[in-house]
Amino acid sequence: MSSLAVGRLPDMAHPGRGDGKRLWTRNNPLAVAGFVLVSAVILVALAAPFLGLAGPNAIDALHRLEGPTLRHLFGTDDLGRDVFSRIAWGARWSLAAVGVATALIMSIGVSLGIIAGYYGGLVDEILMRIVDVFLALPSLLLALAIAGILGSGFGSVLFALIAVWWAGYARLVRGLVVGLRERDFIAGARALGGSNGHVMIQHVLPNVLPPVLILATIEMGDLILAVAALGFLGVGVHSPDPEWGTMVSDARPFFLSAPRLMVLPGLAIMLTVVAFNLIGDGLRDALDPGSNPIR
Amino acid sequence: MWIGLSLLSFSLATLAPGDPAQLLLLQRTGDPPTAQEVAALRGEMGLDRPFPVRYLQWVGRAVQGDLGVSYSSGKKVTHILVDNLGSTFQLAVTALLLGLAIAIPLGVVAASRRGTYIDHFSRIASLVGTSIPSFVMGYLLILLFAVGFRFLPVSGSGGVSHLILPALTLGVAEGASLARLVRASMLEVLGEEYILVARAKGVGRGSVVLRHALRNAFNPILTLTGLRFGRLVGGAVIVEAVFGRTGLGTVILDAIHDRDYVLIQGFMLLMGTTFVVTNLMVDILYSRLDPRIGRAMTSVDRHHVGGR
Repeated sequence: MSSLAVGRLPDMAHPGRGDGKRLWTRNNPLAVAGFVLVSAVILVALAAPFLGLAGPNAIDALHRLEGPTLRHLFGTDDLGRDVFSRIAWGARWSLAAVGVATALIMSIGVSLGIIAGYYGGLVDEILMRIVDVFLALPSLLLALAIAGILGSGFGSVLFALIAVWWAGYARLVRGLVVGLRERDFIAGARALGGSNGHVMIQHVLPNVLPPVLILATIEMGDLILAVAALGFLGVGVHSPDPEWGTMVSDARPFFLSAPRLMVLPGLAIMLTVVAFNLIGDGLRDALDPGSNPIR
Repeated sequence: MWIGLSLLSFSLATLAPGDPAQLLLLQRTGDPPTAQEVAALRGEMGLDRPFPVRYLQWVGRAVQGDLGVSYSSGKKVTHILVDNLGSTFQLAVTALLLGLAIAIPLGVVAASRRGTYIDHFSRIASLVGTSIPSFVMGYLLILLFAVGFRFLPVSGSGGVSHLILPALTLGVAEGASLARLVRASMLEVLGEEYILVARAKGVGRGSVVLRHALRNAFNPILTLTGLRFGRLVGGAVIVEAVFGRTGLGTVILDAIHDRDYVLIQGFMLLMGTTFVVTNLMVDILYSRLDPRIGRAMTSVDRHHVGGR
């Protein structure tokens, strides 16, 4: 196993809380930078309606395709819409999609994973075969096919993300639960008369949650990229709604005359993904000191 | 496994809102069809039969290489896929080679100069490389090479020159994430005792890194590269869209646009099968190359290391 520890997930079953936290903040300025960036993006997203900007779809017909001015910080697009405002509102879209999707993915993945790992037997077998199938398809293609078939809109993007990403969580949690099942405190809880449901929620769930949250952080960047890619390919949102990937796609005809229309939303996607990946890397390093670059 | 895959690909189409027969008639004539016309076509297409029957029929034919007929073009799905497979495959393989050409030197140097500026630079480069959406990267490269220097074609497909920019776009991203794996893998090997022994014997630093460490780090690197192939094909779809290159990417996007479910089904089945077969080949290759750990890697590792 040792020579395969290459970039593998840290030992999820023993996150070693105290140590991890200290290492993390003290020795990893990059992860802190990630945190600051993510907070900034969230802040912009939350504050978008209150920044005194033109609405994301408001058209300033006299100022089309203009470079940055005081009135329009990032300039305007071909229809005269304020680019800064659209990027700020786009942050709401991306973060909302990724946030809601992650919450649902975790609920589904964790529930099914616990059920499979706890009961074992046929239930486990069937659920894990289904997981195998979902994991066998390249994620982006599966998301593309599902969102494409369902048509555009927030709901279909959400559904596609969930359908693609739940399986990894179910697999992870199931593995953890199989390890936990034989532990004394679980046997104890059952001997005290705890029902299956009670044991699963009170005793199993708290133990699988930390690694699940870590996995969610690590995968956040991938989800943002997937949302942007769907938007770019035209299967995500309806065109007037501001979404970063769609903005890049809409800027295609002007990318020689006004590359900023494409570069700015592109940068927004990149910075957000970098920020989440920095946090994810920080967590990975903290929990798997063998791969800590600073040490 | 394959049964599950085919079931998933097939059920995708049933998720679709709207009746394919109705859509098809609407496309053909441009007028909303009457209920009788729809019912007649449903019968002709076999859509009135229950789901299990339709599924079994489809799978039965799929095994013989017949994936049905595309709604939108009237061509055989198998033909469409086979015609376009080559182009996408060519792009993915070129990108993979480019990626390795970037990742191996970068990862090896970073690992052997751990903690120095070179190491930090390579880490940051690979972080940025993995975080840029490929479509943005594609346009940046177009701006730089095709428009700025004017010596590469901007879009379309054809000779080698049309392959360079798309392959570079995909290869840079792949190289960036592979570099991390190479670095980690090298660090692992460099920490082994035999490296210390070699150094103690007076073997030079460069020679240790290249002849002792890289050789041993090579197997896991190749394996991981193989496992990432499915992801690479997924990325190729986007890159093809950016560069207007013919290939499976264009096929699937058109199919989605035309709501051509037969084509989408066939495409998903092909992708899934390719992915499963590649992984199987990698598994076999891996246990041949290194029998000690052939079975040690769990699928969780594989999922997260390889990604999809």
